[in-house]
Amino acid sequence: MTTNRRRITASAAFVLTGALALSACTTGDTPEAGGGDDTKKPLVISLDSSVDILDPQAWRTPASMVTTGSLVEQLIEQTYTASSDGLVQIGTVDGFDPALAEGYEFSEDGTVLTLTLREGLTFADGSPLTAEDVVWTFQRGLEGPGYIKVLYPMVGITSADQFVALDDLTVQVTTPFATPLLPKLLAMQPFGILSKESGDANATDEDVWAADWFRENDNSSGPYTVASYDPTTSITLAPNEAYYDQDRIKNSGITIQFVSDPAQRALLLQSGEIDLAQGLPLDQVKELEKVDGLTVVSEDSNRLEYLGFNTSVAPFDDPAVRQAIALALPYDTFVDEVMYGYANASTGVVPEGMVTHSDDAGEFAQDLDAARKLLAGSGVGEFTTTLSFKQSSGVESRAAVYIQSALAEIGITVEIAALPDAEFTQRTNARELPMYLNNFLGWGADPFYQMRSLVGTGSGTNFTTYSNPELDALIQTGFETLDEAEREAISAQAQQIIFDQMPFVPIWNPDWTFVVRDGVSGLTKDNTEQLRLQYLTKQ
Amino acid sequence: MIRYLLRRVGISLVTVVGLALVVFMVVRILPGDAAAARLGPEASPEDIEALRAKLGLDQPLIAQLGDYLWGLLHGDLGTAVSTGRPVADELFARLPATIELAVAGLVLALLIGFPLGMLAAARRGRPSDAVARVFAVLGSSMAPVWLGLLLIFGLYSVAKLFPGPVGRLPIGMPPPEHVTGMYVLDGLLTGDFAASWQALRYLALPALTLGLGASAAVLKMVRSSMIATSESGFVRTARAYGVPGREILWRDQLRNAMLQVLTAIGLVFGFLLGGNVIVERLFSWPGMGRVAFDALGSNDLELLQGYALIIGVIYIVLNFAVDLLYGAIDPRIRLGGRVS
Repeated sequence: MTTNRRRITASAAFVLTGALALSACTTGDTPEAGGGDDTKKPLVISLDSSVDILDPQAWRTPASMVTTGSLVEQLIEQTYTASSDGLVQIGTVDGFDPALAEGYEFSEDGTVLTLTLREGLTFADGSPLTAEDVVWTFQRGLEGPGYIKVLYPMVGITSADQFVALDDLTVQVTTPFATPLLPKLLAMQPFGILSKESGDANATDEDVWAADWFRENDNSSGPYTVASYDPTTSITLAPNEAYYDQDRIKNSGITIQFVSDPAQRALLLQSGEIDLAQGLPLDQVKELEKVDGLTVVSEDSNRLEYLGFNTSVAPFDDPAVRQAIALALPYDTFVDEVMYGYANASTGVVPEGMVTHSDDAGEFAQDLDAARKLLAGSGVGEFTTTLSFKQSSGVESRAAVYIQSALAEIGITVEIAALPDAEFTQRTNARELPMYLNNFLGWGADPFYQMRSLVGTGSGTNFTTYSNPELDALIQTGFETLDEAEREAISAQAQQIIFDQMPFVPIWNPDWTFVVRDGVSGLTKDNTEQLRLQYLTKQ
Repeated sequence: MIRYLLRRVGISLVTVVGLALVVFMVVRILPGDAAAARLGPEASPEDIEALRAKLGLDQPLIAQLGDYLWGLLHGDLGTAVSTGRPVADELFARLPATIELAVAGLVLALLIGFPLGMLAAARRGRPSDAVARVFAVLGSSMAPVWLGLLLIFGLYSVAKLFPGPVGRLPIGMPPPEHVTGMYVLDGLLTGDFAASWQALRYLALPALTLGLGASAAVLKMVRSSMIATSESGFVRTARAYGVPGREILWRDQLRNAMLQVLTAIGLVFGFLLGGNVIVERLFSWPGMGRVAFDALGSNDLELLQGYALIIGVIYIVLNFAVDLLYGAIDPRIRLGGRVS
């Protein structure tokens, strides 16, 4: 028995020795990426999702939008101004700088946009980038595999004929009406320019837009090329040597590490393995504010969290019921307790930070007496309903409890249903959830884009089923109006209708939040509220 | 022996076909439309109908089943809705990472569970047995995600003994030249010992998370099997004849206990392969489990279907292998119990 014990002890010792041997190295052995310029350093970042595919017109995750936006260059880009702490460059409302196009001008009536490309532009493979590529890219966006085709009709583009290459350097875009949304669209990542030559070379009879090739490959017109890519681990981007302005690339490369668990992302940031993290739980962000060596970067955002109703089913088909619910919600509590202060209380469907926001539409403030009175007046009385949200959302899960409690005060019994994300998406798409929490960001930071998307008849992201021809017409007029004062008046009128009808309740605007290691700066917040990787720097 | 082998192969093939039918039906019963999911909320009804037709979803169920089985025969598991890539490519590219993690977890489970189980059996009723049993209870009751979080916090974040949860290699380090897809092994086979060593280090914590939990099952099975054999007639007889305890333990008890232990190992390995979805996510481990987790989030039923099928087939193959090993260990089994 003594021998047995020795053997067993020896086995245990072997296990322990092995474990210790494995642990005998220190961590943090991140290799340096290449780059000839010593002042530029590589960064490792971790975003709130992984990169699914490389096609800038057909990606499905926010990290893919960031990545693919760096593999294609747009014709123009937003003008940035520095935030007060200098860490963030914020896109201005209507200022644009040259990018691939050295200039652009609208015709007098604003319906013809002429863009002139820089001379000598090339893709990463050395092939020339011409007006033909621009036209092909836009046509692909309209007719090809991606879903950005839904954006074109907002500016009146419905046919590929509306894009014309006048010569190698000149592109003309014709629209049936003048709209300030057009340059905003052109500055967005999905409108970056692809290589027609690569597309033609890799097209097949069944895949005329070379979707399969662009899914896995790039021939960059942007600041980076793909150095390595594993869809479940990471993607490493190296500066594109063919890029027209190397000075715009402020680092020597970016690795986006896909860390699925946000808590682990925070740990990696603290240990210095990554330089920037997005999508961390807000309670952790609050704690990280106290950690030496880390900085929380937080700016106002146009993203809108809302409580949606299915306005086709009782009792939510009654605007008074929806109004009563809006009056019962604890807006400040959402900001303080649910969002840990990283949000602004609701200011309406067009948030305060977006152009044409109107304070006159109505205020979002809790008034339980008024809510009870409105509900009683509607004749609906007390009822029970279900509040659904995505299981993965910690903030919505907490908000649901406050909503349940607040609505109980006015006689509405709420049953909470945390649905698996896929089921939630599917059931909102089917418009079968009576009441739900959801969020939306209108890329263009445009009020009419925002309103059309959320409450426009037939819009893919109008999950409320609300339909109002008068409102639709008003929004369309807004799209087609250039005069700022007129746009403000139209927008205010539309906001008033939406407030009165309350097809959904805007409940807060979450901040645009990142946590970075000290020395990291150059974060950019443009209309799409996604980073432009080339501007990130590390001291 | 050949009859035994053929019978086992036949049973396994029937099980695979049954599994394929079940997976096919379950995915069709679940709510959701693969075409709508692929095209997103902005898709027009016409686009969705066109894609449904392209994917064959507008066909009768029996025709879809026929297409599915025909595709399976040709290694076609469909196309992932979320990425547009072939499901087989998505999953088989991740299989080596999953196998590497599961094997490492199993090795650790055996290294920990086997000696502790033998110790507990040999010292039944004594303090060391009690300690082992407490370990077993803790190991089987602690959720892998919780254990993983504890290990990451304690051994990475605080003690800095192990590397962080960033996958299979340090950030930016290229993998060794592909041979099997299992980095530790590939590094050794291609002489890239630095990659092999780093892969081993990054494997350690997730493997420990899986292995500690699984070791409890091994420990319990080894302990109970050893105790059962220690009370059998042949052991008592051997003791009465004065055969040394060590000899009885290793030659008689252990070999006779191995049948049950082998069953446990087969089950544990199957569990480690199919049940590590959470651990892979926690450690950003790029295996099939993580792909399946992401597929759940994106409503990618094609990918989930492929995952369920592959894991099921691996289970069946494992059971087949265990059955064969039974035969090797106990001749009565392979000869249908006709040995006198």
